[in-house]
Amino acid sequence: MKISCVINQVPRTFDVDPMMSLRELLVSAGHVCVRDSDDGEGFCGSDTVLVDGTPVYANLMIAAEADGCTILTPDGLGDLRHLTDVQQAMIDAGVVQSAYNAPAAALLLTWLLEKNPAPSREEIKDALSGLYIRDASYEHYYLAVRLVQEKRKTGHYVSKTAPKFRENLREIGTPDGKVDGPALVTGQRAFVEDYVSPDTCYMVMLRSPYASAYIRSIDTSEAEKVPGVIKIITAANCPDIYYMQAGQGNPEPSPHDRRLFNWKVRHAGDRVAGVVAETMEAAEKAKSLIKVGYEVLKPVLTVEEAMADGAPLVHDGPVEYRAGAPADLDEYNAKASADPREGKVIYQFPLGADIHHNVAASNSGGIGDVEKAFAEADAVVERTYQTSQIQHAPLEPHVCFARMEGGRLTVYASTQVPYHVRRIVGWVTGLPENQIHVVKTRVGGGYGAKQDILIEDVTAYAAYITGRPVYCRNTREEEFIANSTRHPMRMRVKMSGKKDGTITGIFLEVRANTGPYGNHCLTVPMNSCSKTLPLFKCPNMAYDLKVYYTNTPPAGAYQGYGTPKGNYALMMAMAELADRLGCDYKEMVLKNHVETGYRLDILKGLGEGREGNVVPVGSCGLREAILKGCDMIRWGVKEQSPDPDWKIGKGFAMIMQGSGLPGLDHAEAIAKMETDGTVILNSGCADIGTGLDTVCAKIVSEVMCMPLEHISVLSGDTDSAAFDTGSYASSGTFFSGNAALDAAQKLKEGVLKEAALQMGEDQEDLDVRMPGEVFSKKTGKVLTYAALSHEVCSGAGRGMIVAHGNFVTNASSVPYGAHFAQAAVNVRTGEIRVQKFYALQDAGTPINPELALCQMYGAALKSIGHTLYEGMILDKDGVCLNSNMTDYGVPMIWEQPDDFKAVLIDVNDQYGPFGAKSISEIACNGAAPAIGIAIHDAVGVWMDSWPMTPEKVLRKLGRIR
Amino acid sequence: MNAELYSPRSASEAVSLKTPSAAFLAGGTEILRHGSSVHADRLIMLKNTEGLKGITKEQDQTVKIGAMTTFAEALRSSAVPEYFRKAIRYMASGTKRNMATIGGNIALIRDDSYLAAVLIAAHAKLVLLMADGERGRDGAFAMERKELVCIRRYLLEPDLYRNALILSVLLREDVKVVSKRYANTAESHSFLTAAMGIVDGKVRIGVSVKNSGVFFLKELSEEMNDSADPGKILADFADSWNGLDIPDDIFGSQAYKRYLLGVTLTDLYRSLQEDRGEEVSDV
Repeated sequence: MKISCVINQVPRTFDVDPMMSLRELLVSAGHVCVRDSDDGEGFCGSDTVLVDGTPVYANLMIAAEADGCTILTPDGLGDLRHLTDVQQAMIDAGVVQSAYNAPAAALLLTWLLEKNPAPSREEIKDALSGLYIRDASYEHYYLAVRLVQEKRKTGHYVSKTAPKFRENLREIGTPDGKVDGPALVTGQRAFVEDYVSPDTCYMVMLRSPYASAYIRSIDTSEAEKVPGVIKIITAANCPDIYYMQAGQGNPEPSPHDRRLFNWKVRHAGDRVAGVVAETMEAAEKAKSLIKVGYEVLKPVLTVEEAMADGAPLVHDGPVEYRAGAPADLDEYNAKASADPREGKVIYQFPLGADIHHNVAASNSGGIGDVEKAFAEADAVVERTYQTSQIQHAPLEPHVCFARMEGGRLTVYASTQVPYHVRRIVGWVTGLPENQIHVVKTRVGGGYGAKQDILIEDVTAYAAYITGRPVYCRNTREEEFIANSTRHPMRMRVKMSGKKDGTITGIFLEVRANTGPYGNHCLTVPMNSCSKTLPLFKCPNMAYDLKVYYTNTPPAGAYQGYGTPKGNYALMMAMAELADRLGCDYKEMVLKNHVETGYRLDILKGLGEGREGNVVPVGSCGLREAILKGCDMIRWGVKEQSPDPDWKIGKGFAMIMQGSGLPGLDHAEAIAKMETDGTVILNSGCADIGTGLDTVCAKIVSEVMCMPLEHISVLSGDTDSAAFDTGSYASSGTFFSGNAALDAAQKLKEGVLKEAALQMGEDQEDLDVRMPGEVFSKKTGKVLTYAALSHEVCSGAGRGMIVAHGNFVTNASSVPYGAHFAQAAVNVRTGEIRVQKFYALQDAGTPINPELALCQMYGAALKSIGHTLYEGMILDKDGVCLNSNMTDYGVPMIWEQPDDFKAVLIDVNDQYGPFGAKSISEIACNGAAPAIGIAIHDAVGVWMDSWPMTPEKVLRKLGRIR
Repeated sequence: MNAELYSPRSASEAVSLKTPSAAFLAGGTEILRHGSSVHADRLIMLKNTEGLKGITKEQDQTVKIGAMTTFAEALRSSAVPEYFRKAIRYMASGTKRNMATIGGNIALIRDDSYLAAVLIAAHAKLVLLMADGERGRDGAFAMERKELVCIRRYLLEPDLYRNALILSVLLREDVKVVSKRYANTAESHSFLTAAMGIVDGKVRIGVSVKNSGVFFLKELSEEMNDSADPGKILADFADSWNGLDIPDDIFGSQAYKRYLLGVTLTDLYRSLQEDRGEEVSDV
């Protein structure tokens, strides 16, 4: 049918399929920023447009309904060179981060302010209520609105977007926008889907309905007859290569325990067949015609089931070791199943595994004598805590486009780890790395999910063997059932203390569920010990962890790794111990936390598959965060609700993390001065929306004394940059930033050396200054970078000035902080409201303060969600029952605490670039214990599992049995 | 969804197009939603159908809301009683409120409908257009009739009205209704909505329980109306109610939901009594 409408003030006529969605129509018309985050569930709002001046979800409207309408899409606001005041304010407020639906947010705020130039907080909340934000929370959207109002009224901002740090520096520590902010907020082509060529084929995945089963047979003959089908990949024709999907160092501790497709499916949602076809419809049709015979096996769905005597085994094939094989390996393998469908498990080095008891990895260790400490204590608490399986739920699902270009394989990936993608794609295709080009596009939300190579492996393989471009994008359901998730964990804590509040002994037992494959099976659970126990100045500490294979959806990397769980258990136990001893919790915390210089012997055993580095505590803003937070929340003052059914309590938790992995991580950057004196930094880093490109640009700007706009950062492209381990473990600013610093310093050295020749001066008499020139301290002569670089690139020149920076270290820069919650609990209904949440963190020098604050808000709100609402629910057969956004329960603007504050504690670090430490991951670690302790303060019950639901509260209160 | 699309200009035409496997397309937030339970081979788009919009005050202290009135439009109208505006706000997404229509929401007859529970408690009525008789050559039915139907009957006997088009909803202004909705997050599906009204001096209770259904607690309402101590009735009800089959599901256990229902009804009753300035029974 024909429809006519006006899109962004341009009259358009289309001949459409009447059932085509409005979003499909708009995207086909070039409005790519009308995106889809939920397959048309009407939840996330990435598809928001204005129809006749009213915000609607374009996925939930058919194109035919738009006939005669006036439509405004987000790219109909300002453009890259002419930002609107709303778009600019969003960048300035720091909310443009991963930005998958930032254009939609800009549209909503524009609509709101046109309708109501002075909206209240409630009206802003309502305007954004249909928009799901995972990265930055909603707090600075209120600020963005205020900035617009101020600018419209006075011509400038009155409010500060963030505090400024380091007055002696120009760019570092100054809120000054984001280098990719304009492109992202205006909805430019930036994400993987924007690079897909019209000739692409589509790949869809047939997935197992069973949690555990052998594949007896696969018949693809009927499916292959479907016109347009190019290839169907199954266990029968995929390469016999074992690998793992964890994107971390190499060799990474995760066992190589899977092929692209396996003869044994190990979770409901596991890959059975990949169908490549010329159209999505053909791929789906062919998928439905594949006949699979399953031999269904009994699954194990919990750690308890996995550890039981006689439990079904998730992996029961032979084990191999690339290094350090035990002497009795043959004897051990004699117990393996003879069924070749089991496959095998290859360990890179011993991890304390025992797959014939479902143990994927284990570790234990400690310092001092905990048993003696317990025996001599005035009080001992012992409690077991359980955490749920959590999805990252980024706005952009896992997505990949791969094609052969000039005989090489190019992979467009939304990834945190482009170089690991390249390595793993190399493994499964057999191609050397020089034949593979990975292009990290903008990433619409990672949070650890995109540290795992979950679809790039099979998409790239499909493109390679077919020679056709292949596009694969997870459905939202697949994001839940076939992705990595946060490991569910059971933690038993035993903690002892003296009457004066001294903690004398801590034992932490961790039993983690890694799911069917061992992605990060050691590293994530280790973090529950290695990023928590070093908070305590306690001479007797021990840990014991075992990680079990199960048939649940896979677990893997997740922002914070295992730290939020270990921290939840330890802080809750400490609060209970304080209660038992009659101590004030705050005083106990102050008495037992570490401080600068304290030697962390506990770290010796807490390496990730190797011996840990024993170091003293470095820069540390922990005490200041605790004291300041206690003042802010009025610790010790009991708040009363006017409604007697609602009781109010307060809690807080210490937090720490790391800044990358000393001794393991590695970053490089190449800076080159272009012929006009501008600089391009080819960084191996992977900016996933957090502002890492901006960090690198600011560092170069600061060192080179040149304007930020004269520096471009090209990052995450494996062809143009040098190696970087990627963005995970809070490594970005610390490692990639330090590599950029090294490159910038070397570039400056090269410029001064060249200038000395061109100016006829001694190099030691020269220095650089704004706006990008060399000057002589001796003669006052000046040489601009443009002139200098033009000369070196001339026929008589000495060659472009290029500098290669890199960074490795054994030094640790640990961020610290404390998170505070005030919660109200209804004793009749069990409802919980987080009234106040304060996040105080020491990030060293925050290079982008406004972005740092928003990352703290985002991670804190996310972890409030984990604490109260989120959790994948499996039925008795291991099938996920809430694999959509509506039922899963991510927090949105209505769940955000009304009083929400993020505070940066000013600490200068010794090792970070310009004193910077990491910021984001640590902010996931405080909510659960802070809220749990607040609930106890309110109603007197200890919440020992998350999510802390109203039903659990009522059961603890004895209201229901 | 693959379906034929029709765009009738009048309600009569819309009804004439309705077949058992067809669906009226109102706001689209459910029918076009991924995961929708509605499947149809014909969609009858009501966007351009005349006479289905608008909010008017009628005689007899009644407000008429056209079926195609969106949640947002109803929320903005001061003519709409506050008890209903509160129920509208249970739809957390403002963008969805711009699209979803009052009639469309009711017609879905969802077991998690917060509007349904409130409308039952308010003793609301629907104006339906029904088609009867054989279809003529032009596809139209020989007869059509308007029918005024109690919301309770529409919701609880859906087969009677499968092909009917809701024209409008009639809300009484002279009633007091209080309600409460429970969901994991504001944007999640409701798993329990309870509403209690005082209509013509009598208590009416409407309840929606996800995976169970929408209920008019007639016996409980009558028992309370006849009792000298309604508070005690509710307290007893909290312990056991055999008339409702509530499953354990992703929203919680049966025990939890039963408990919550009892507590909530008690609270709603207390709230109603406080509104009336009456002495509150000790419940």
